[in-house]
Amino acid sequence: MGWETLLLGMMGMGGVFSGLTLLTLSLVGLRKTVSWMGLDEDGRGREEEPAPSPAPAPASPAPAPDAPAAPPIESTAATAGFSGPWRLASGTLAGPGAADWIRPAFRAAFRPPTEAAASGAETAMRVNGRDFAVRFLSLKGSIARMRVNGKDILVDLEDLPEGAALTAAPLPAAPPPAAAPTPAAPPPAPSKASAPKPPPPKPSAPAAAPPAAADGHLPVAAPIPGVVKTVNVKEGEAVKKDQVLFILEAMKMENEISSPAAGRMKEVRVQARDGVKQGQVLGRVTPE
Amino acid sequence: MFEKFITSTGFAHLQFGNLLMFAVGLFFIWAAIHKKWEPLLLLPIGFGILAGNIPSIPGFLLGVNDEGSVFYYLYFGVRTGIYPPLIFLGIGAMTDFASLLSNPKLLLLGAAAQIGIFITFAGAMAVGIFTVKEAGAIAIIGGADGPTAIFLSSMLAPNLLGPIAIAAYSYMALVPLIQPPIIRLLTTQEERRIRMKEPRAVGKVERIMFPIFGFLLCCLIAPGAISLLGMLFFGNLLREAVVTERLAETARTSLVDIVTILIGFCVGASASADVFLQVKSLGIFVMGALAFSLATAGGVIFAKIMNLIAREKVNPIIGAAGVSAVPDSARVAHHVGLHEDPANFLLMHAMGPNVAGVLGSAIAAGILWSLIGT
Repeated sequence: MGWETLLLGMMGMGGVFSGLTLLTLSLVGLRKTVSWMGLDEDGRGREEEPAPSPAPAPASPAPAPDAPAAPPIESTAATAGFSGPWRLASGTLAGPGAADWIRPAFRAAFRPPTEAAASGAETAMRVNGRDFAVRFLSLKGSIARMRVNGKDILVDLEDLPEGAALTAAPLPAAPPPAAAPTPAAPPPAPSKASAPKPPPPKPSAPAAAPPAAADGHLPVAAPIPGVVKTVNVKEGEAVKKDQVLFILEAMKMENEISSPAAGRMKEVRVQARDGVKQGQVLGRVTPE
Repeated sequence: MFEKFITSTGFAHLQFGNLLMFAVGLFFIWAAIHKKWEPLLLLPIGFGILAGNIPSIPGFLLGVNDEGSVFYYLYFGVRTGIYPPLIFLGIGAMTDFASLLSNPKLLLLGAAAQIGIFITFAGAMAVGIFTVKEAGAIAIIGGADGPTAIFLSSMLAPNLLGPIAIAAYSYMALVPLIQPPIIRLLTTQEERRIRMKEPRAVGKVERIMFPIFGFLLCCLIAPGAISLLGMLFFGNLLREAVVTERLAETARTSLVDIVTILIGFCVGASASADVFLQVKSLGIFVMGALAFSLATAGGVIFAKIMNLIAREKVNPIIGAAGVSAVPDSARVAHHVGLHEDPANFLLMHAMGPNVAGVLGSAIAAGILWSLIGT
């Protein structure tokens, strides 16, 4: 009986493993196929879906000093009220799977959403030698609908972690490479991203602290999707470092979201019972 | 006359075993209400145990095994394995497989954690008091999935269904106590602090394709899993298709609640003293604990093995979530991670292996059933 039992057990385990391995492979295949066929251009899923964007996300806690500077994107955005050039961290922008990079690129370029951006004017952008005509169709909350070379895409402008390397502030001039938050160019295809680590949910890592905040405010982002249970601060209130600002409930668990730095609450963007997505900015802190 | 009334009351037939089971039932109710351990399951089971241990009186049909009694018909869904697939339908409609789709290799963690099932199977055979079928039914406790355990034991060892289901649910309620020590034992602090890349956004096409192809693939491999996995994937398709949101809503709320009430109560009621209080039950509880611990260890160790070759490191804590027990073990992984690094939110990562564990244990059940059930 002993051997038979062992054999049975091994067969079973082998079955489970081979089954799930096959499933893994087919999922990878599915993903490749879907992105190859471009089926997911609009596949932002549903509203409640956590919508992190791996491509622009890596705020590169520690950008290697010799990281290749991102190709600057020339934008002749005069009509849209923008003035270039815009600096984007988008790595190699050519190739198929345009959705992989178009979205992050434009998300970065037109952030923060402005009325001008939503006015419907067409903007010509040149990215690595390719021309794009970008037209804003509408701006609903933070979701912008844009037409890029005749194709409509939805872009969530809130998705970008604020203060990340992708801030689309127009460059004053050609800044010294070290001074600007040097965007470590993410690899071409986000699916293969070998970014070392995700950006810290809260800028607790020294590198992501003040220097990363282009506009001087530190974002407090939701590390996981959930529902805001309590908001413990008001706008303008002084906060201490690690003071609990929000309680976020996810899967019946309460998670404390604390302040990245000592300072003052610049703004609070959520109320109790608001549903938030992963990476959504809950509020901003002005460090003092 | 008075004597007749006395003999017609339960008191006259009450045995010590029944009293003991009352205590067990009360403990479950207490644990559910006071300790809030899986109240949705433990409370119905606890009350069911009370109901199942009212001694039967000659001439009356009361128990789940007395053909013609009301409980007999309620128990029909357990005996024939109808309820568990309905629960799986609800779970499918509840579950967001995005974390799995975004990082498919996490599926392997869900497979690795099933090793607990098969080692326990061998262990239960080695003990010598169980038949092959009973050993298979006991081993599935290591799958840490109540409906799967009920389903397989109703197919393989209906006589042990009560103890097996109760052991499975008890250990699931005890996940927060069982898992953390094992995780800490097997990992270094450095490993527990690994931060993982944020999951990517998963598009609608992938979300819809997954339940369809996942179903075809899983059920072609383990046809025995068709009733569980078929319903799980069907429920998920209802959810992801969006156009059937109404059906998905019903499946994940009303339907799953109704079936949970019935299954919990019936399983409790099947645990009458004469079935429950035997040496085999003790063996089941011991083997169940073994299965759970091994499953946790299997997931954690496999995550460490993956880290040897993978470029993107996996935090081995989430390997423990590979023993289904959705979503408790994912929460446990999240808490263990937070304990080491208050800014490391593992919850969404742990959900990947967690739902993979459900698939894994259902496939394991299908394989066990087809290997030893015939």
